[in-house]
Amino acid sequence: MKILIVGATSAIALETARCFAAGEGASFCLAGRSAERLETVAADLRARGAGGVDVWAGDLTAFTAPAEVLRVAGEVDLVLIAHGSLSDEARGAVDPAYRASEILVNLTSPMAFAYAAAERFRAKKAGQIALITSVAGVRGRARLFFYGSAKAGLIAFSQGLRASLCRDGVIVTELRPGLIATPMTATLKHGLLSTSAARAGRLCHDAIQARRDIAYIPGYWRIIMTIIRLIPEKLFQRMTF
Amino acid sequence: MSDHLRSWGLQPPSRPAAVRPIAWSDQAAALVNAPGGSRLPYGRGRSYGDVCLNNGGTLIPTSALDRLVAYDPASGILTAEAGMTFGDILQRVVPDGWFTPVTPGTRRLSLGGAVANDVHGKEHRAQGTFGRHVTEFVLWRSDRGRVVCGPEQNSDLFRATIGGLGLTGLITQVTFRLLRIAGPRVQTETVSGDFALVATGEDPYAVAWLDTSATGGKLSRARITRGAFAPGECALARGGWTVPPIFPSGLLNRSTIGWLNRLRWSETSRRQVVTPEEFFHPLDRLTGWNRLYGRRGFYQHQSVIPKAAGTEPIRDLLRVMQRGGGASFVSVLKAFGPLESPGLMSFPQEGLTLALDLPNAGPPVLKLLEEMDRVVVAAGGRLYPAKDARMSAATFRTGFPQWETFARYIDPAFSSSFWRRVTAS
Repeated sequence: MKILIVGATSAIALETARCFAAGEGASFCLAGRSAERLETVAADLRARGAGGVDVWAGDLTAFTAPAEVLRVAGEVDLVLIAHGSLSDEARGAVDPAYRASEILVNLTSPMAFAYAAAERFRAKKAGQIALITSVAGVRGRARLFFYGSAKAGLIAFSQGLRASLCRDGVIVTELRPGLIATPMTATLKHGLLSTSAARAGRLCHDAIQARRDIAYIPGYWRIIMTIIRLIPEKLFQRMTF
Repeated sequence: MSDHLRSWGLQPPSRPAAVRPIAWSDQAAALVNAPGGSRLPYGRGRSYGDVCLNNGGTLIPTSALDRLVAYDPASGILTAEAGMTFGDILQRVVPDGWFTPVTPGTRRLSLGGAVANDVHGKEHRAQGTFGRHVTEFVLWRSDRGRVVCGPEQNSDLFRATIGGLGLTGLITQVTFRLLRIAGPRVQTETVSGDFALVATGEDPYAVAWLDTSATGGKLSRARITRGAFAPGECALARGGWTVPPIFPSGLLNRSTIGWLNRLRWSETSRRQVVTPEEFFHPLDRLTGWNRLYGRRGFYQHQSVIPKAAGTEPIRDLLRVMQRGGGASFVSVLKAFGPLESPGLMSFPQEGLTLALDLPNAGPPVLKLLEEMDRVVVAAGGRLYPAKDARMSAATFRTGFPQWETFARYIDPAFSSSFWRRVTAS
């Protein structure tokens, strides 16, 4: 099994990859920004039983990146698209350049990688694309709606992509994490609902292996988000969470 | 986030002014050089008192620095980042017939913490402390940058950092030798008898559990468990229970502990084959067991009584505790052998080490613990900094007369609540 991970230094992606290395002895191509950090991840996966690990370091948001990364990765069975950034809401409200670059990282670039992977998989009538979205994309709330709007876009995109590929034997798995304790979320308040990155990675691995369409990580967020979606708008806008 | 950065005994209360986690070793230089007050690495919060706390200063949590760097299943040499836990390491190496050379009572500690506290386990007579098995580590200092330390390379800093309580700089990765095992199971034998039996026998692992509620002629009685690795099926890290933070302080008190001790006591001998987890880390099955003591937490008193002083000081400690109205639920006695650690500030010395957990019931307990300190000092022993939240500066300095030599190796940008307490004049 060969896996391409885009945004391989993400904590959830690393934990997912560890499961595939230890369990399936998978081979990897790791794409990300920092060569040094990707090498750190590669060494960890090798030591945990990965077959082979290649690394591609560069700007994932460049228009040419998806084609180049897929070429370097070669034949792959799974593309896990994991890059993203927890946007600074206050800065997003006032800084148009920041807004553009965050949307690029959280929506445009993941879409570009998914399109490129879809093209490749459609041709060979096999393959799986997994995208990491967020519960923040399920309903916009005052605290996290700039980040949430990009993730909402990615959720709609995943659904449409899945529908467009369903007759080609290509699986699209959307992984929708709740609050996971990672370096990315270190500034958020963590309570009882917080999940460790290791557990999240295990659940992502299982959801991918089960070829799930949409998997909340962990599953109880499906219940929470169902309730949150049912709250009438007039009431929801006054809630402060 | 700082809510999580407690120590295991939940004592003393402490609040860092800043929390700056490290996730990649390329961040180390900036973290050790950042302007501001003193800083201290924080591993997994498994030390009991304030060696892992830096009240009013900066804490550098290392839990995201948890990757394997290199592992050779043939030679058993492993390099990992400092935030990786023993549990994660065991998960990887046990199927290949290896184990950590030293195994403390929890597998949820970090590798960096194991070096900084020069941890020991039930195998001290056979293996010594963890520091003896470390071949190299990378240390980041505010005054020297990246320093690679080993027994032959920067050996003075190597010696100071083993047992150096995180004060000599930020450890980012550690290389050590694993232990070859006969199989992933442990053959154990448990007998009842005098606690001094723990220092006898051929098995590499031995521990004694004391019934601290017993008095008079039964004062020395203990359940002694010995073990050795044995072949069998590999089974590690099963689920368990999590203790919710709902228990009131005082639920574990003298009478409930006495009652629990009596329930646990048995005279029968038992031989059985168990998993390493059941043998080494029974309390890990109960995540957050420290919360059973409630918000006020508890104190652990772990001392070493040198061999020359005999076993009477151990009985004295138990008598003093009982007279003062104390009772300990987890009461563990182990033997330290003559194997020397390279660590300058390493705690073990040949003799017996007794660990007693006392609920924090306020000032009377502190007074009682001080009385117990006097027994230890009179016997020529000392207390384990990793377990301590309250010993006096004088007790510390008597136990560790080398502390001034050690202080020369402390990174000028580093400090801890513990260090300020025991060096205050």
